[in-house]
Amino acid sequence: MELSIDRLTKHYGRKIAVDCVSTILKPGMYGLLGENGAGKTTLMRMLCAILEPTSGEVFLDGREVSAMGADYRDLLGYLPQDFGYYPNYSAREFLLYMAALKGIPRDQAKKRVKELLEVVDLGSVETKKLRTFSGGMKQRVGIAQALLNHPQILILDEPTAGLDPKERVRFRNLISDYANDRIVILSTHIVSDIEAIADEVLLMRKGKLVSRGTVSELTKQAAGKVWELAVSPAEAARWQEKVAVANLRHEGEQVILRILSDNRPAEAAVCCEATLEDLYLQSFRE
Amino acid sequence: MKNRRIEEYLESSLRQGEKGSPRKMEEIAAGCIEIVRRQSEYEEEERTGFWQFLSDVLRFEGPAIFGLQAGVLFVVCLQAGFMENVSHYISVFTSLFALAVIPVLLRSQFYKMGEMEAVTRASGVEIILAKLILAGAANLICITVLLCLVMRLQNSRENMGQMILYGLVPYLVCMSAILRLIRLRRKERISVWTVVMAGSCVGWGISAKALPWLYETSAAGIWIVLFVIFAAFFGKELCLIGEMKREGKPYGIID
Repeated sequence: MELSIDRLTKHYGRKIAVDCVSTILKPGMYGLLGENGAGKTTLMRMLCAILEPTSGEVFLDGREVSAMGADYRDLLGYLPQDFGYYPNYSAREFLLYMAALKGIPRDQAKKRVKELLEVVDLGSVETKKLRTFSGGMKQRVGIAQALLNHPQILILDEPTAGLDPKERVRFRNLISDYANDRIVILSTHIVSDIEAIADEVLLMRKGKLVSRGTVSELTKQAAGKVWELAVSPAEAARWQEKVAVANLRHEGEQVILRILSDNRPAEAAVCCEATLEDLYLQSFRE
Repeated sequence: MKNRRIEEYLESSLRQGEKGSPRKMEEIAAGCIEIVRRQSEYEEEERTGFWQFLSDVLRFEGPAIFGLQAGVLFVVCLQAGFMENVSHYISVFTSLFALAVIPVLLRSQFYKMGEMEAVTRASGVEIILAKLILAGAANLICITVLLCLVMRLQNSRENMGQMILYGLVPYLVCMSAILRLIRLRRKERISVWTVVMAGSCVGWGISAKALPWLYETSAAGIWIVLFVIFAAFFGKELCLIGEMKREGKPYGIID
């Protein structure tokens, strides 16, 4: 399976939300990283064929996805960033409703809904109304609905928002398994989630795809540009104004600054191993 | 264009063939075979047809659709019993039936479910279509009951054809407006249009009082012309829904 994005562009009036993005996605887990307004959600919506691009096309194994219609949507699972729910439905009713819209026969849907409710750890509250659910529980219902039709392409926009650390780990394991023979595209601001599970990272900036590579390939770009420097609390504020500080932690009387800089910022600064978060912060520094 | 990549390969193949490059031809043929193999690779799971889908929508949306219509019918029947010239007010009542469809048609937009539903197999088009069929059936039952009641109250079947037009014209006006609103995705105008349509009920009511000639037998021509015009608008909206479904274009208000 190959999802090919060919010069995909979206304009909203004069604003360019996605600017001529071209890439090819094969089965695996892709993490989409970018600051707010970078065009991640717009790109994902166009991949789902719910937003018409200004220009460019998306092909699935050579077939244009908008022309595939229901055949494409059959292969698709999508979790929007900000999704709603019918408050009077229970979790089970909601998933059965979504299964009906996905064209899953009733007996299969019942089985699948039961399985998924267990997978997302909502089996014990399946008959409770969605309006009584917490944000994390609703998010898990959203994840379950995206998986209902065994999608070959799974697009998740900020899926871990609102999940507690235990749920996030559970989700990461579930999606990791899932991405074996499918295309999974995941957008999140939680860099550690992407670092943990993404096979490849797509870095977006101002509508453009600026980098693509594995986590180790990308972090190499920041190698030699991350420094740690121990300073006094009084000096810490001065350093924060002078250079880009990725992190700041207190150790006894001292403050350890994690500085992003092309050159050694001070004699006492020690070069340290770069992480994806460092690269992210460095890419979106200004 | 379907299978565009294959077409590109084939075009390229023909061009290369003219130049007589057998190696290139083999490469291109292998490319074509690989694409076709990948396309046939997906395990197709069983999916329901439209009628099964319609029955599922009936299961989930039916109580709301039929409940609202029954509620409006109850109020209308109560009111009709106390009115003089009740046939002049049929247009007000049928506008109310059309208005009662709005909450069901726009439910997914109200609850921000539009985006999630649009990505399903049914997509926005089939969901609206199914709701329209069910709401249309409920409307048909209610309008028939209303007409029977009016005829019973008048103890006459005279002007039955004209009374049907009194019912259908305002109904078509409202439904065409709702479908146009959804097609053009004017989310910000939903409230404005709802007020306008509610206002149209008042307008029909005023016309019943202020323009009694409009409800005389001699005005049948006007009603027929209005019916043809608004049936054409309604038909056009239905055709556009069908067209969007065929072309796979997104339909409906998505946040």
